[in-house]
Formats: sequence, C-alpha cells, structure tokens
Amino acid sequence: MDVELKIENLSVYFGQKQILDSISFEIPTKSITAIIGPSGCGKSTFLRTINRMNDRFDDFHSKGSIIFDGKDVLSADYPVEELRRKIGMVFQKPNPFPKSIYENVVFGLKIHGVKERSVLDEVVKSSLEAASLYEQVKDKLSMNAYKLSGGQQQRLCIARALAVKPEILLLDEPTSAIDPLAAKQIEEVLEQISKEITILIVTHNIQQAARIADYIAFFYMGKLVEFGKAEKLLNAPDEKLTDDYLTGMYG
Amino acid sequence: MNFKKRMIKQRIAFLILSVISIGILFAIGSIFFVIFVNGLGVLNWKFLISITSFDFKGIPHGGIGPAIVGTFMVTGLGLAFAVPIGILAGIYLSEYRSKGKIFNVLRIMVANLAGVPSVVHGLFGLAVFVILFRFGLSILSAALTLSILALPIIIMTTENAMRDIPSDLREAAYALGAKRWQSALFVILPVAISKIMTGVILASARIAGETAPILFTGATLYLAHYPTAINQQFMALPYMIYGLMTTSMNISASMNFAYGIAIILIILITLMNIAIVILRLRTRKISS
Repeated sequence: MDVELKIENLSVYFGQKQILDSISFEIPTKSITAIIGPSGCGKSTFLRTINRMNDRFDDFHSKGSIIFDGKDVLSADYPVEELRRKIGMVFQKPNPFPKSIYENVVFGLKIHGVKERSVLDEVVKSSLEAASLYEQVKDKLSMNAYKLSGGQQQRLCIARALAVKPEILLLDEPTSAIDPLAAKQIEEVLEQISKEITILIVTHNIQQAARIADYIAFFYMGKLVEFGKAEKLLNAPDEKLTDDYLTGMYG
Repeated sequence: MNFKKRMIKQRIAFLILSVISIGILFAIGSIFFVIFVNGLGVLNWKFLISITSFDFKGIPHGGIGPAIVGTFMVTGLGLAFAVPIGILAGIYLSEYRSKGKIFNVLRIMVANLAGVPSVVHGLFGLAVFVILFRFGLSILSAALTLSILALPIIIMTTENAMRDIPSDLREAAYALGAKRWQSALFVILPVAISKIMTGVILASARIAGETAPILFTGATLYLAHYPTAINQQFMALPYMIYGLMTTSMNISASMNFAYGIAIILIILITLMNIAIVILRLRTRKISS
C-alpha cells in the first residue's frame, strides 16, 4: 500500500484545551479511509487540520507533523493556498456559492488563474460527470445553484472540489444533512472517484463506513484508538473500546 | 373579571399607540403640506433649468439650475471618494480584523464619527482641504468634506453586510485555495453588495441635504452661471434655502422660492429612499 499522508505524533489545541493527542497513522493512497467515533472525539478537527482550515482561529495550535509529498503541511512556510488546491474539502452542510452552477464549478480554477473558456467548459463537464450531476443539469448550467435540491447541491460541492484536480478529498460528514437516497448517490460517487484520488471521510454513521470504506480509523476522546482495514476493524477489532463503540455501548 | 381587566388594558394601550402614530403622521404630513402649498406655485420646467436672478427689489426670478447641478456635482464627487474607501475599509474590518482591541476601538471611533455634528466636519474641511491642502473654496474641498461625513455610514453598512453572510461560504472559498481577498471580493461582496448599496444611498441622501459642511468649504449664495470645474465655488440646494431665508434683500418675497427648492430636495431624497426599498426587496429575494 502506498502512503498518501503520514500523520506523525499530531496533537492539536484550541487555547489550553487539547483536542487531539499524539495521533500517528498512515493514510493509504487512492482508497477511502473513514474516520469514525463519537461526537466530540476530534474527528472533524483532525480533518480540518489537514488542509489547515483551523488556521483561521487565533487560539489554534498544533504539534507533530502531517507529511504530504515529502513535506510537512503544518510547517509555517508551507503555502496554504497550494495545499488546499491539492487537498480539497466538502463540508457537512452543502455550501454552494450563490452563483450559477457553472460559476460554482470553475471558481477554484479561476482563482488559480485559469481563464481559457474551452478548458473551463471541459472541466465543468468532467467534474459534474464525476459527481454524477451532469445529466441532470447540463441544460441549465447558468441556473443559480441554490435552486438545486440538497443532495444535488452536495454533489455540486463535490464537483467544485474535483475541478481543481485535488490529490486528496476530505469530506466532513457529507451526507448527514441530506436524505438517505441522496446520501446513497454520494456514496456511489465517492467509491467511483476513489479510484483516482485519496478520500478521507468523517462519518458518525458506522453503516456508511462499512459500505464504502477501505480503511477505518476509530477516534475516541482525541486519541486514535485503532486503525486498520475496514473489514478487520468492523468484524474483529483489536481494542475493546472499538468493540464497545461498534456494538453501541456508547456514542 | 381578570380577563375583562386585561381587555381594558389592551384597549387603552392600543388607543395610546394609535394616538401617537397618528400624531407622528400628522406632524410629518403637515410639514409636507406647508412646504408643498407654499412652494408648488414656483415649480415649472424653467425653475429646474434656468439661472437665478434677482430684480432691484431683491425678489428671486428664474430657476435653480446651478444649485441643482452644484448639489449633484458635490454629492457625486463626495461619493466617488467615500464609496471605494468606505467599502474597502468595511471589508477590511469584517474579513481581516474581526477581533482585536485596537479594531474595536477603531469601530467605536467610526461610530463616533457618524455622530459628530456636521458643522464640525465643515470646520475640519476648512482647516484641512481649503487651507492646508490649498484646494481653496471649491467643489473639490466641499466634496472631500462631505465624503468624510459619508464614510462612517458606508463603512458600517459594509462591515455589517459582509458579516451577515454565513461563514460557510468563506470556508468553501478557502477550501478551494482562495486567498482572503479573493473570498471577500468574489464570494462575499457580490452577495453583500445590495445591502451595501442601501448604505451608499443612505449616505448620499444625507450629504445631499447637508448645509454646514459646505458652508465654509466652497458653497456660495449666488452664481450667475453653471459650475464648470471642480476648483470653482458652487451653489447648492440646502445652502440656497438658507441664503434666501437669511441674507437676501427681500426675505418675504423669497419665501416661495425657498419652498420650491425644498420640494425639489424632498423629491430627490424620496427617490433615493425608493431606490433603497427596491434594493432591499431584491436582497430579500436572493437570501430566501
């Protein structure tokens, strides 16, 4: 297995409060890794540390490293905008821009200086196809994205993230705000694109992790309890904590 | 019994509020009534476009063309300075410096600036633009003075409009690798712009009607021609009313003329307020 991200001794704090405690594991490339765990275990914070979204908060600081392409993304001189182009993110609540479908998809390219119309058109088509939204919207690309349904908006957000050709896609409970049928479509999209890019998904839905994940990391109270192949972790976890969580003892 | 008591209380409260509301409407209505009754007589097409002249008895004739043009020039130029600076400052406060002691102090200062009496702005304009910068008594000096009056309104509405936009849109932009200014300019500003425009119109309605700030900085009571350059003195609607009612040779004969000017000012400001309402309706449509 090739390693896409190497997490080494990662600890994260908001002010005095420690959110993550010495996390170390390796995220395999071109596969789906699910991060599960009870609310408040730090899984979202972990995801947002990888693309440095937590930098926005004044009291955030971290120790340890996250090695990506041989460099530590947490080091102060790592170019954040470049990092976020390579590591995309999809949020819990669909958050398309109040612009047309087309403008949503090309936004990332435009801010990175791509202007040629033919390139943009091509990327819009391929990104929407990858998010299996193209057939539904191909005749109304100039329609405001807010007119789409919740599930379509979330797939548009995936297309928007894919448009800048990221190497990793981070998803923070992407299906928790939409209906089950739309969630299933998104799971299918993720399985499809995981052939090309590495996917890291935070979910509180163990069934979802079981359906799509190749690897699972179980977080509890800011610590990584267990990481391994999905089947192994779900059926025969090494740790009692994991077993308790999976059998519904808490969480 | 208790229920009946409450009903009576409710009735009394309703009565008091109704009387107050009707009283306010009556007060506003009577202002309009007096102005329109006295001023309508002088209104005609010529009044809007011709130059003012006084006969030997000191009675004004002709129209208020130069004053209308002067008010438009000084308001327009004032906005040309205040709008870009005000919007950029508002963006800075909302997107770059949302926290921090210094910036909270700055916010209070901006709010204070909005409350400073306008004659103080006039003195400041005289000291800085007219004398220090040697712009003289001119449209330029007056416009700069008015722009300082407009700035706090524009800064505050911009900051609030930008802050009202949910931050998940900012995160969406950042997550695609957008820099702060790209998120502010390409994502947040386009959504906030109609609210910002209401602030801009509010500011222009305010400065178009001001007298004190232009008093020492460039307005003049009488010009026999239209202004042609920004280094000239100018006539302005509010100051012309003031002049006709205080310093003209024949005040009682000038009264109707002054009321006519007041009608024009009211119409201008009403039009601006209608524009605000239209913009607000549009904003509501977008956000729902």
